[in-house]
Amino acid sequence: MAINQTWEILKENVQWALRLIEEHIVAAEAFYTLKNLTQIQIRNSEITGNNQGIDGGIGFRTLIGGNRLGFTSTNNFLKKEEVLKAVENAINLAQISTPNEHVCFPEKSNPKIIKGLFDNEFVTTTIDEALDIAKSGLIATEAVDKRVKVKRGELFLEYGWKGIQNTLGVEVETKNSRGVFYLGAIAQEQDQVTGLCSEINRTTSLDFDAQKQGETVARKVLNLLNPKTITSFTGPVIFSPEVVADHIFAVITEALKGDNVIANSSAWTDRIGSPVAINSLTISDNPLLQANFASQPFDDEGAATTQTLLVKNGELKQFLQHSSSAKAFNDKTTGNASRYGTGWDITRLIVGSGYKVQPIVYPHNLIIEPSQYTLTDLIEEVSHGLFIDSVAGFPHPGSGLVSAQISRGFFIEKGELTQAIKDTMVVGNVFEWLQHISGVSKETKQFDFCHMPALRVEEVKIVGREQ
Amino acid sequence: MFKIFNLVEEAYESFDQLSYNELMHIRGQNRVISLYSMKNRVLEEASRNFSLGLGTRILSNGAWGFTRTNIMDSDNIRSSMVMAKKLAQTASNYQRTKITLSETRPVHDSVKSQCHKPIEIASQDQIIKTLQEISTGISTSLTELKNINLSLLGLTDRKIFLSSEGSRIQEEFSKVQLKIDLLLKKHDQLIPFSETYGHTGGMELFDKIDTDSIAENIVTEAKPLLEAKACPAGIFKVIIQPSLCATLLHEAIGHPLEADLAMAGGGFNETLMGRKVSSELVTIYDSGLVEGGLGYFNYDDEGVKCSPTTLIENGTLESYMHDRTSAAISDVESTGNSHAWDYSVPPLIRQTNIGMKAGDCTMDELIEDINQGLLLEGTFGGMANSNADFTFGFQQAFQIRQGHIDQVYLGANVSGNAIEVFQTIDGISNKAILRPGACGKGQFAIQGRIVPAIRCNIMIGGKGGT
Repeated sequence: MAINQTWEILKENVQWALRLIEEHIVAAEAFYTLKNLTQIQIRNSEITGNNQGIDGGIGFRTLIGGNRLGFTSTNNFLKKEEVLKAVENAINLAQISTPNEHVCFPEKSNPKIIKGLFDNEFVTTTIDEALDIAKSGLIATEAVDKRVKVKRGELFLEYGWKGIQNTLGVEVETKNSRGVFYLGAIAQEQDQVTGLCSEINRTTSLDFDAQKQGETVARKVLNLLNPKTITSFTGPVIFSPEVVADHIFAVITEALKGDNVIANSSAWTDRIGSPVAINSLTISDNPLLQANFASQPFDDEGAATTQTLLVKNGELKQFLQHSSSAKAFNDKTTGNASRYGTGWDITRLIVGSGYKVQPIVYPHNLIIEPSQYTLTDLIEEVSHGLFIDSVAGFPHPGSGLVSAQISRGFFIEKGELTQAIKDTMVVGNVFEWLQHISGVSKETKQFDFCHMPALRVEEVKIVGREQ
Repeated sequence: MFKIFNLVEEAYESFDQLSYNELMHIRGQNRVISLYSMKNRVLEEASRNFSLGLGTRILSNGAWGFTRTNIMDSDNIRSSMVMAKKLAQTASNYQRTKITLSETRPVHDSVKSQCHKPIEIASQDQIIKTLQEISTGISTSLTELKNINLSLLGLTDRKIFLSSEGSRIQEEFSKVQLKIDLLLKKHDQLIPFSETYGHTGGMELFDKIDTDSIAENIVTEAKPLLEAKACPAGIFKVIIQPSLCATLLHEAIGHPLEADLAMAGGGFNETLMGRKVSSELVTIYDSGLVEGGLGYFNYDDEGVKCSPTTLIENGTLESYMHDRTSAAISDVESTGNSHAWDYSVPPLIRQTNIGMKAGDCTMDELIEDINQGLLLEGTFGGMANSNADFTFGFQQAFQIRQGHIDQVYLGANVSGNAIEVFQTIDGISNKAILRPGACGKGQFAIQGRIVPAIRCNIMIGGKGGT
């Protein structure tokens, strides 16, 4: 059966099941997806995996009398009786849940049309063409220098549909395509082996420049050879967009989530209208950019998405909300229901994402507004500091504490990058760092849920082998 | 066992496109996940996930092709097999070194892990009562608590493995995990704390440890954090408690000893095999057969019987964890470490229940020899790099001065290189504890760890003074 025919059957079965249970519930919602996935894996300088498949399923949320919510998902969606069994199971589970006065589903809204989220080339690309992209990246990386080896790589191509229907009138669907190409390399010289150094590109169209990506990762990893230990100090540090997207994003996100404010676990509870960062910093969530990897016209409960200004000139303006958290604030949803954002929630990682889980509040595309200063400008102004391109470890999202191993870092002396470093950690608190930002770069990079510049932060504690 | 698997077997039997020199592995899976999430004593989520699917892997001309589908009709299953063969043939044109597999004997078996109280049929009222008792027990004793979240997750897998080499294995197992997350607040500072309980089995987990004991343990461990100062930074002599040693063992030793990472020139590369790589006190193994361990498996996802594998014995590197591909390269037998998170992904080399043999020191003996050091407890997860560099977070530390426990500190991260740090181990406690664990090496896995406390030197990235 062709994939578009399968999608039509999936939709029909959802509609059929929702109609059948309508009289037993206050409201019900179905979130359903169907995706074609292609993955090419590279391990240890070889293309080792070549995977294709279809994944689809439905997640049902049901709301019964007394505002009790139940959830069930199934991927056995071609059989009507299994679909009905799933939604009935959600009703049964609702009966044991605790009443929650704020839980609700959105009503019908008008999602904007965003261009460039689907590229038909994802449908027509053959497996040979996908393999050629991966091979081109692999060869380009190792051609730069014989000391460089590609240790891990993955080309991930996906296209498909997402649909949401609820009994309050929401009925939306979108078709999109997404591609991710990851290349991770090490450099070896005599007894010395560097850690893994990676470069990831994300796109909605098949426009990978695999050769350029390979050359970039090779040059980056070669710079890691012959690292030196350093003496502990406190001083200026430039965090690359990767580090900002990893640690700083995780902490800011937890503070901005409306459901965390309700649960008393946001560090920015009661801070609306107050300064939370230096007065030149502006943060927004923008899922409406054309041809952007993180864009989507409606959120994962079917509410239209919108650009939301969160921090303006350092002052906290707004929290992110989905319909239920917004109701608790007596406010409107910001369209930030997400079934893909996970943060560090292990339970959610076990269960999965998409149709397998209920939505949580999460940014679509968190953006720290860039400046006019280049990364080179930021470096030139540092007489003694570090450029940190990659860290390992997890921040404490609630408290903002960061204590991370620097996996790719360079010493800055008199305005120039000089030496790769090793056995070094960076320590601090993101909420304090936001008050000590002394520079934002012009260059930015797109990630899964954010678009970030580099940040220069003053008075950051660096722990080296020598005290 | 599970009737949809009949369809898989029929499709497999009727597949006539496999050449004599090709190999096919089929994995069918039916998974049910039950989740009960209680936030601030309110049952916020009761949910159930049903998934069913098939993963087909074909080895042709030295290359793998893999397909997955959850559209379980005969035509689609057959198409999936045809596509797997096509993918393998295409990939073989791009493969410089042809993949070969170590030998394994065909197996016919049907196994089921012990589960006395399956979560799927447990009384939901009893489940909610269990969560409420723990929540209430903790909340009433910790007035500084701002947020408490309990997630009880039950996972039941029914799997079938069919191989063109003649194996037909059915497995069924259930796992239960309870994760407790607290957020405490003292003087505007938010302090996180978490603990996890879990085993392969059902709700009898709460017969082994009752709800009052869980609440009491959590309160006892979390309360000192309210008096904690920022942890110092630098290199320290430390005692790493089992709750944290589990993460150290998994990240620092486990990952670098997975053959796919090790044989690519990682920190524990093949030149070190048979040589001293750590303190002689250290013996490390991996075993899928640890009863109750979250990494309990009878067979791996290449149909190889799981068995205990000694990785490091008295400090000497003895073996990696292998799948059939890496085993063939090393000319050894597979250790049964090829596991896939579910039907939708191909297997890769994973730890099951990694363990460190207990030593002969009491905790008092480990502590009394330290003039100036730290006792590290609780985990916030970690990461490892291919060169054996690792980092992981601890939840709290206690200062040790002249053999006595003193000031409590807030959590931070440690960092080091496994080969360097494991050379410094000079004491191991006499009791190893089974702990739950999780890993995200490309795909997810829940695993077990059997760990004592160890004493070693390590770098700490604390926010306080040195």
